[in-house]
Amino acid sequence: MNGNRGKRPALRVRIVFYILVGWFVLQFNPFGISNKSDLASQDAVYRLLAPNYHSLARDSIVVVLLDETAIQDLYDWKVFHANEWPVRYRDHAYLLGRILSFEPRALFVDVFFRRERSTDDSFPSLLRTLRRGHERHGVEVLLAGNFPGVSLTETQQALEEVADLSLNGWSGFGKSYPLRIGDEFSTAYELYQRACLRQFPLAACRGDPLRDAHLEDGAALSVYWGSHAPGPLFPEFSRAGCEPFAGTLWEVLVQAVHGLGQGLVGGLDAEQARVKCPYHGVIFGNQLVAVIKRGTPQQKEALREAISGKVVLYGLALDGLHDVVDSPVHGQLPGVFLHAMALDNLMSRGKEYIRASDDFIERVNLAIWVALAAFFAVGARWLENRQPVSAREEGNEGKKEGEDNVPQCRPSKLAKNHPEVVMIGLGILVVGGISVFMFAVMDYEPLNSIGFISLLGVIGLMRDSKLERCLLVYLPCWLGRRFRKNGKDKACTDCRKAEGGKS
Amino acid sequence: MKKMAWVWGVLLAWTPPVMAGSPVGKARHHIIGFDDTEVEVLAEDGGVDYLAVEIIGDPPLPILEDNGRGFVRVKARDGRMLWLGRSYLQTDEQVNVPSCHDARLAKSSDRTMASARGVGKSCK
Repeated sequence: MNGNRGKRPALRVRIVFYILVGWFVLQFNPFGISNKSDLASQDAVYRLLAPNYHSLARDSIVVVLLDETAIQDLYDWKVFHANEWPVRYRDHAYLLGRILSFEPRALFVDVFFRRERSTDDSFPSLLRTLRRGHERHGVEVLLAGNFPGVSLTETQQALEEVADLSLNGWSGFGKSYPLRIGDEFSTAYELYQRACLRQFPLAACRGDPLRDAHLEDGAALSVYWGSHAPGPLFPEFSRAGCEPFAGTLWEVLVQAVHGLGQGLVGGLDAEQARVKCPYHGVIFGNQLVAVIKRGTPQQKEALREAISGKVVLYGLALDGLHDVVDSPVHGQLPGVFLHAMALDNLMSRGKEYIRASDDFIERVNLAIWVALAAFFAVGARWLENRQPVSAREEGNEGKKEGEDNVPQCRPSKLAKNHPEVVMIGLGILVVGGISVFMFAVMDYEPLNSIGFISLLGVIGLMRDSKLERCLLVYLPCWLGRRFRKNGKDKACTDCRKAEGGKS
Repeated sequence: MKKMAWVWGVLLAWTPPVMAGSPVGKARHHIIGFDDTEVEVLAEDGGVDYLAVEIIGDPPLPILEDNGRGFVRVKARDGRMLWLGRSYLQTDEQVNVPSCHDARLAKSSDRTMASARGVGKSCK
């Protein structure tokens, strides 16, 4: 690369060029490169950090799930009228009624009721159950609302009289979880309000309270997934579970390799390293009913303890509903777990929740790149031009004896011949340091490290390449010749020399 | 001892015809508890209403009939015949234990299904 450098661009021209390359990629996101690398960086960091996520909130949040097996069992036991999705309104009502009777702190129903089905006349049962839950048990029920700004249907208006609707659909936030869009708050924040901002906050609420006033329009949370799954509440009804994470060196190593290596090493078996169980406790619908109807006193007490005073999320795990989310730690999970994890993050960090990228971070990213580009260009030039002291002093007279052959500063061959490699290495360290600072101190989502490192690699490869000479030396010369009247001025002479070789 | 056994024998032999004369006699199963303080009741107009369990009576209550559509008939405390929603009842019927679940709910990231639930591939 450095063998025949020919005419080289000035340092300041290089710096400006490198800045422009990065600015173009970061600002215009060609082919989605910037977004992809941003997501890959976040995923890698969150996979690496997942074992370090511990929260008291985990045991204050429980998910009641309906899946194929649960629906089939409930139908076989003549509890549900439907044996297949969509189950009847009265079936939901029955199950929700049972949950409400345990008096949870709040209940979120992750089922989107838009219009009353013409084939099901049991909608009044659902309304009645929700009204009763509030009146008799004092439980605030939250229902899946819609995208922001979408008007309510008659059915939703009826539901809003007995429960609250929360924002649970959005676009333009990538993998982040918005907390506020316009005047509407999303599900996790609405649940957080009920868990932590009421008169008696739950003990699991930590950090300074996050209030409405702290959230600007578009404020979003970067979801930090945990990997320590709790054991099953009813192991006697579980076929297979996950080994609890003991935090051994081997486990940490596997997580680290999974986190960092998955993107770099395509052959790595990501499936093996993936955490298979969600972070929050799960009670399946059929387990809940079985314990209520036929459980032992111990099982009934365990169920009461699991739900009473907790935040309960009622959701579905059925194929073909497209209600799934991608977790960097787990892979695909039923959508309800995204709300649970976002709520967990809010409860455990409060006002210090990890913020998703915003306009401020966009500007910071650009500033970081300007500094990195300048650092790379200046550092590489400095390394290249650095000479051993002995060489610099060569020819000096009056040297003391014995000092001639002992250079005081001898740059390594690598630094001398491949300064860009050294600068990329240093750049990676700088990017890593900034990323840690942004995440740990400023509570911002992980930096687009992969993007910055890739950009450093690109300018490292371009440095002293023909492409760089073409763009920074020949092109200005050619343009100068085109637009200057006097083709024989100094710039053109230099340009011809450059083109020629070359002289 | 022999005398007691003889008395029990007579009683057992005599009981079935007596029980057969009443609705209770047809009962094979009983309601042994309720899931809630109110249960679903099928109204005369075919709609569903809710009734406090105190009005229905104290378990065990014999199940007189099953309509096969989620409701069973019982005789209430005041002598009325009621159709009660099965969901809210705990009965002495034989019920299977819940099917076991796999706690490993997370699936591979590239798991794909390009159909909506309830819609087949054929449009017909």
